[in-house]
Amino acid sequence: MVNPVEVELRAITKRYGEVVAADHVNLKVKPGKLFTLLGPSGCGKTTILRMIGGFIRPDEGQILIGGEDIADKPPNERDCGFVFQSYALFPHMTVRNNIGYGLKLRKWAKNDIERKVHEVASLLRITELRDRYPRQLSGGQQQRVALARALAIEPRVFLWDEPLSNLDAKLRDVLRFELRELQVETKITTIYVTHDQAEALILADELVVMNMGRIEQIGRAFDVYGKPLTPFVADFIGRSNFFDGKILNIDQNKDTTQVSCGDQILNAPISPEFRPGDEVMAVVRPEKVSLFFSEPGKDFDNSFRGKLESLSFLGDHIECRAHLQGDIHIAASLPSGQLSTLRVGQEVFVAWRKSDTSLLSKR
Amino acid sequence: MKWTTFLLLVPFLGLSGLLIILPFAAVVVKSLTTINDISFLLIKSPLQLLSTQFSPQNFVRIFSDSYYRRTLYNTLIVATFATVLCVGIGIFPAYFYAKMTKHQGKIGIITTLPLLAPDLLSCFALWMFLGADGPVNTIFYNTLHIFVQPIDVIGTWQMLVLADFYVLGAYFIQSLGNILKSSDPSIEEASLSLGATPFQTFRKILLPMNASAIVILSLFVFTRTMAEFVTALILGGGKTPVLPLLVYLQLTTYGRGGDLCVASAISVVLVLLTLSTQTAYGYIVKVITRGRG
Repeated sequence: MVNPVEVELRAITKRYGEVVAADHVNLKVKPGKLFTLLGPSGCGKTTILRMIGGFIRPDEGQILIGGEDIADKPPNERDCGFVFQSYALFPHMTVRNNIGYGLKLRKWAKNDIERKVHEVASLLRITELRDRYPRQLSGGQQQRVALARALAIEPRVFLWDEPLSNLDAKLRDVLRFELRELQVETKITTIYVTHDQAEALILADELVVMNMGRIEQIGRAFDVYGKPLTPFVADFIGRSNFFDGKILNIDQNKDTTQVSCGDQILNAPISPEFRPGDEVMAVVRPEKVSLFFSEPGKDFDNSFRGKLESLSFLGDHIECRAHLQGDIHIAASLPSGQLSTLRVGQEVFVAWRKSDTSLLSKR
Repeated sequence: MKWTTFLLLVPFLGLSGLLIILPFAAVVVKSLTTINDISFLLIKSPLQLLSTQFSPQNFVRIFSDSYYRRTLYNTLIVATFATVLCVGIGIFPAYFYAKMTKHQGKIGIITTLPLLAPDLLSCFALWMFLGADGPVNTIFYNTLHIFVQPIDVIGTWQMLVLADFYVLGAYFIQSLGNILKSSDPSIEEASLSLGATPFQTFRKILLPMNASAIVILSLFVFTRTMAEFVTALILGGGKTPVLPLLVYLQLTTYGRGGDLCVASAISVVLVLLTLSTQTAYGYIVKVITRGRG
């Protein structure tokens, strides 16, 4: 297997007329790690992937693989294993010849090609399909062949462009874990583009959240989810409750920031970038919100009386909304076991810990 | 399907029967007789048909007479070379037309020009351009003395090949270009990402992937060229007869030596040649696409 390499983007910019697809993007993908580029359609994630692959030329900036600037190299000299959303298998070739295509171009000996094809086919569990044509394969099988073909050439970098998006949900769930196992086993530096946040959270060593050509946040999935740095990240990753407010008071002794949100006062941890009077957005995840029928204990720094206005049973959990004083609405995700105790219109106390509150700048 | 739906097919079937099947059946019947008149034997003289002696003598004449054999040979040679030229040369502009999106408009105009004028006009223009007193000879022979002798291509089979390529090549390029344009670009990108150069991608991926389309388009060029007589009429100079031209001559000299039965037999031979070619091509396409769908 190859030695893992770092992939670095320095101030990468790409414009299409007035539209900026990538806006001075800086990114370092650590050797042997899997980074996912996550964002809505049109955010620039595929543009960036294709620039690394050499199919689009950046207007500005540098792309380095293993410390080497590859900007002037055509796609066939970049040694990247690109896996396409549409699989892009060669329809006139068998699976065997699809997988061996890159090796034949590299003038490997016939025996070595056959050995390598067998090796990667075994790894992807498609050995019995080697004499079939793409048209004779299911979606999941085609995807495995596409992966095997990219893996066979022992690339320095894997570039995966939404490889699972054309598959049904169940198959996606299975293949996600297989992809992760493959990447961990081969240790090939991988950049994975997806718009599916569940996929990104499951697969990524680090998550790169993008919006409108810019990186909003980079970090481990746990950190990005738990501590979103911008309203976009808070909204795009998972679900969030947003409260517009103003910093009232910062108490260093109690490590508490008090935020005035309409008629309510929220408690949040201290954030060094905020001062009293700053306009902020307070964010709390629905699964961090608990419901009580009486005033909760001191464990919960935020506690508000309200009324349940909707209940939805979703199998493994319940989604509910409560209406608080000051015309504030809050969503909560609760274990489904609580369903029998709840009724729409019920008076409840909505509570969460201050450590589960994030403060984001509104600027 | 309801029987009322089949009513929608009646106009088409009626027209097909009236304008294609029945007339052709009449031509087949005539080709097997020596009744050299313009009677529509199947309808006007059905009773006469019963007493007519059918014989293959028109076909025997076509295949035994050296003039007719040479004409058959010319027809096949011109069709074959025109097809080879269209495919061999036309593939590359088709590729550029499909891939060079920036210049697609300009390439499209250049490749469409021959299609804008009727075949007659194109042939007439070529006849003037390459004729004995045309600009090519005037400039390169008379004025610059680059040619040792004037070029004399009018009337040669090479001229017919060139003219057919000029007319049908544009169609081939546009059709293949549109097919290549609609193919999934990620397949080419996959090839590049695996280490292939653009030319290797063209040779190992694009061409084989679209082989059946290229074969079918070349079949069209071949059969169209076999049936082409305007180029032979204007540019053949009487020195390179082809089968469609013979049919035309037999028809236009009817009453002055023209034989409609022979014309009919030549037409049947042309159709049989076309059908055989289509069958052969169909087999080739089947072999090419075996397994891959």
